[in-house]
Formats: sequence, structure tokens, C-alpha cells
Amino acid sequence: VDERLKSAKSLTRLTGKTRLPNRSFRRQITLCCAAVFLFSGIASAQGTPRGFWSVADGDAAHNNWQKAETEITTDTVAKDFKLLWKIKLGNGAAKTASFSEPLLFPGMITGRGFKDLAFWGDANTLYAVDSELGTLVWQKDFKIESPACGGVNIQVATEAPQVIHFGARRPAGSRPAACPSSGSSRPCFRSVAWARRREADISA
Amino acid sequence: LKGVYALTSDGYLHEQIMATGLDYAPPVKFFPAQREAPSA
Repeated sequence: VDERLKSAKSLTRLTGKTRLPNRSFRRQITLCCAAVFLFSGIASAQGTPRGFWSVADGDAAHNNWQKAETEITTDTVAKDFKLLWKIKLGNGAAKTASFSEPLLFPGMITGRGFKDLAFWGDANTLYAVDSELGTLVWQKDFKIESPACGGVNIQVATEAPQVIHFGARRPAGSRPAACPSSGSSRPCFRSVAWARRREADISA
Repeated sequence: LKGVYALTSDGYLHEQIMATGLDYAPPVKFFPAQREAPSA
């Protein structure tokens, strides 16, 4: 028994020693998560994060306006903008006459680290380009069986950036949306008994 | 995994994995062929 107690104590000591760095590591992770949640809440208040252009014309309403952008002005365009890189895509004029509007997705996690990606499409190929380095990351050739007349380009859209909306609240004094199925002005609320009745109806 | 969607002129909607360009899922028929896609 003494031997067992001794070994248990030594194990506790050992695990105690190994747990200390783990605990501080966990604390760091918790702090990082809290910071991420906090900043994502701030980002949500500003709309689409800066640098994203996920569909042609900016959004479904064709606003062509990135509201989070604060640094690009008529002055900075004149002073600070210059050509950083250029890239040749496709096989020239024989293959394609034009490209679709470029879409931007910064901070994409890939096997080679974070990448700022830009997407273009021509008549049958989709290109992903590293917009920092100006290098082709990948291209996808689609086999189009019956292409449209006039060489219509591929229409491209990316997934919208994920934003956690911590600040989402109804305006003070407003009511929840009316329940569409019942037509009632009261919010949709179903009890457990209602769910069981519904299950019974379906199974019958 | 993030996706990028491509609508080709034969009417198929393709979804590619954004990081690699590989197929995320088989393409689906989205609109009849020989018609120009409506602007996004």
C-alpha cells in the first residue's frame, strides 16, 4: 500500500509539473478566443470585412461599395497606388477575349499558409491567384458540352466571409417577426407536446 | 472548407474547394443551356 501511495504521489507530482504549462497555455488560448470573438463582433458592426469582394458588383444589390474601406481615397489613389505585379492567364486572345470581374478573398487558410486569393473566370476556366505575390495558386478547366454562343464567361461567386454577429439585437420596443405558418402576430413557438403530435401525425 | 462557385455557360453550377480548386460536390444543373446567365 505504501508503495502504491508513493507511486501515486510521485505521479501527482509529475502530472502537477506537466499540467502547469498546460494550464497557462489554456489561459492563453482562452484569451485569444475572447479577443477573436470581441474583434469579430466589432467587424460585424462594420458590415463586410475590408478586402472581401465575394460577388460581382460587390453584393446582391450591385452597390459596388466596400463600406469598410477607409484608406482608399482619391488622394491615396493618386499618390500611393502603383503596379505590383501582372500575370498572364489563359492562352491569349485565341482562347478568350475577356475575364469576369475579379473577386477577392483575403486570409484564406491553405496548405501553404494564409493566402489572399483573387478569382477570375474566362469562358471555361476558373483561376485562383495569390493577390499578394501575383502567382497562380490553381486553375480549374471545366468541360463545357454545349457552350453558349458568343463565348459567355464563367460567373463566379465565393462564399461570404463568416462574421459572428454578437451585436445583433432587435430595436427597443419592437416585436419578433410574425409566425409565417400560423399567420399569428405572436412569434413561432412550438411546445414539446406540439412536436410529439406532429411526429405522430407524420408516422400515421 | 470554403467554397467558390462557378456558373458555366452550359448551365451547370460547380463548387470548388477554395484552397485547392478541387471539386467540392458534383455540378448541378442550374439553368437551361444556350442561355446567358443572369448577372449576379
